[in-house]
Amino acid sequence: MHTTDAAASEPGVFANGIWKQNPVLVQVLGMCPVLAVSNTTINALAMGLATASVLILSSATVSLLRHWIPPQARIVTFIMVIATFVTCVDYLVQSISIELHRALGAFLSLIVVNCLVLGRAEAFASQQSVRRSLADAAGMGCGFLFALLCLGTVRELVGSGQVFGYPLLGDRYQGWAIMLLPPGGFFSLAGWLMFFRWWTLRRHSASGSTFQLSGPTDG
Amino acid sequence: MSQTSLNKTANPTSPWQIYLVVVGVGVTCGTLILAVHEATRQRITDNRAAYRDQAAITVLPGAIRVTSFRWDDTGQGLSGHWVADGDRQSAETILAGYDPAGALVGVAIEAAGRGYQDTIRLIYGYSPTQQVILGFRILESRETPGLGDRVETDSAFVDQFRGLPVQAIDRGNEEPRVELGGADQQRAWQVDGISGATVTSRAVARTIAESVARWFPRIEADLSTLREAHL
Amino acid sequence: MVEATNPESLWSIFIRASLVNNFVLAYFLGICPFLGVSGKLQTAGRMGLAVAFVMLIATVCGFAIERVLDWIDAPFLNLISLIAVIATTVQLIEMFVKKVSPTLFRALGIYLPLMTTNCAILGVALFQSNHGYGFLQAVVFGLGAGVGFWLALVLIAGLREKLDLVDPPDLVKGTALTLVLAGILSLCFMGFSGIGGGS
Repeated sequence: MHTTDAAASEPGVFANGIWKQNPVLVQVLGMCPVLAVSNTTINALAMGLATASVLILSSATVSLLRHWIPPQARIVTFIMVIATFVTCVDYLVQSISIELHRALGAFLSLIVVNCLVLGRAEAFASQQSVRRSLADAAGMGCGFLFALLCLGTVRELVGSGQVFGYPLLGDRYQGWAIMLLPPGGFFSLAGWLMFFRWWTLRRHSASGSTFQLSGPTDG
Repeated sequence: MSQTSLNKTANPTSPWQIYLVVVGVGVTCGTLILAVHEATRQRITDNRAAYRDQAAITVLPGAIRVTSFRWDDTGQGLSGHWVADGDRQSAETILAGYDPAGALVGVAIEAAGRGYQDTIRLIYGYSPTQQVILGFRILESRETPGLGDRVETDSAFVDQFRGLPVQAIDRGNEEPRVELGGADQQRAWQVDGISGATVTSRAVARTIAESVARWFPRIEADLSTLREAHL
Repeated sequence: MVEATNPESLWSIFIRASLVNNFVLAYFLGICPFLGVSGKLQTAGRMGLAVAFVMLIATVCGFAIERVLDWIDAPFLNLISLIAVIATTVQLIEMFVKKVSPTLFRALGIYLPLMTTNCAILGVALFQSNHGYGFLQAVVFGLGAGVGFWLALVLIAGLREKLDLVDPPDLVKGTALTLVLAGILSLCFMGFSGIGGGS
């Protein structure tokens, strides 16, 4: 898990999550929902917002409780806190729109097992103050949302010529259906990972610094 | 939160303390879930009902309001009757749609069947007066985009179900057999499929046919309740 | 929410859960261990078996929990009870593996405790209730899903062992290459669509 950002200030912690330590594109965490519900932009947006809110709520709670939880009961307590917030978000989404809830399906409940949420609780929130945990969770949440939108836009645009349901490529565009199907998820994520790697490599070779790429981690 | 303040002073490695914290957190979490559940329950129920009513109206042309009915199987065989009730979430409920004058347009029924990839859920309208299917709408499917999902968009396929006759074949004292299609179409899957989506289009036709066969006798047995609900 | 019965045959459920709707390649569940422990064929095979076993247990637990919660009229506690039961089961298995085979325990490393947060395990428990299966059907579903997970893990591990012999460009090394492989595998598994017999 990543605890390298321990010394940064709150804005630094926040920015870290969005770009340098992006949970999806750099750390490769929480892949299941990223691949499963990124076939349209609107689903990606809803899933990203749901995950970010669970992440922020559970990080804050874990950070508040950090002195009272014995280390042996850590994981069980964290996961119960996360499950509670996921259930609450599930009910809130249902009260907003049944159609959206149907589109996200079981993946909404599966936020409980998103490695990212438990990972941040364990690696950051259980050791840091509430303010810093909030900054970290917000940063990671935004980074997750950003990555989901990257994937969702590409998949919907190439797969059906639309973004957020608005046709961008005209009526004559024949959708590349495979991008909406499971293989398309794997391919476009691979594409984005390569792009980010290329970007980082190029920037660091330009500035001449030696930078250790964070490879795939556990999760 | 009394448990948590207790733990602050105690030795955190004692099994009882761990147990207490876990139970304490569990109880707090359960209470929180219960609170949110109670707070959102009414809206969720309303949303679900509105979603289903909306779907029902799209397959019942001319209907402006719907009422849900549940089949009450009081006696043996078909001696039950329809009961109007508010539970619109059960798959065992049908929705009857009425025009502005209060006359029965038709009933909307939800059905599910196996498609190419996974289960297809759909809702279709049936007119008991004309004994025809009025149309259908897919509620949920994971069929191949660009191929299987054309069952919703291919107008030639969708139009076949507008006014598709339903025939009851009397077989004496057994339940009547019900089939889709007119005299020239002897079997359910003689509905023309879509090339490239053969399995999905057959699945839609078969799902509707099986569902009609199941509900037809009950609708016939107590049609007057459905008819007179808004007269 | 719980439908009366699902008339699907056991054989069809098994084929559909393991091949047509493969948990890893069609539903994207359990991607983390799929990417993380698939470097070596032997480890991957054992990890696959461990996860498949927990998936089977989770299905049975999920079935039981749903009935109990239905009976006490508290379906909103479903998720939290499921995850608590899974966490306990994983803990027990961890202790068991540590005692029986310390080598395997070291080989699985962090991925053994991480089984708690394996989407495939919670997913199988949630999906069986969505399908409205009876007890035997649910067990077969859990078994099929587990076999499917094991199969996907072993397949990708075999491919990655071969890939160690080649020298890809720096850019695609690592996760990106594995994801492309997974995409191709997923494409192959799409060929299974439609099999498993009619309903």
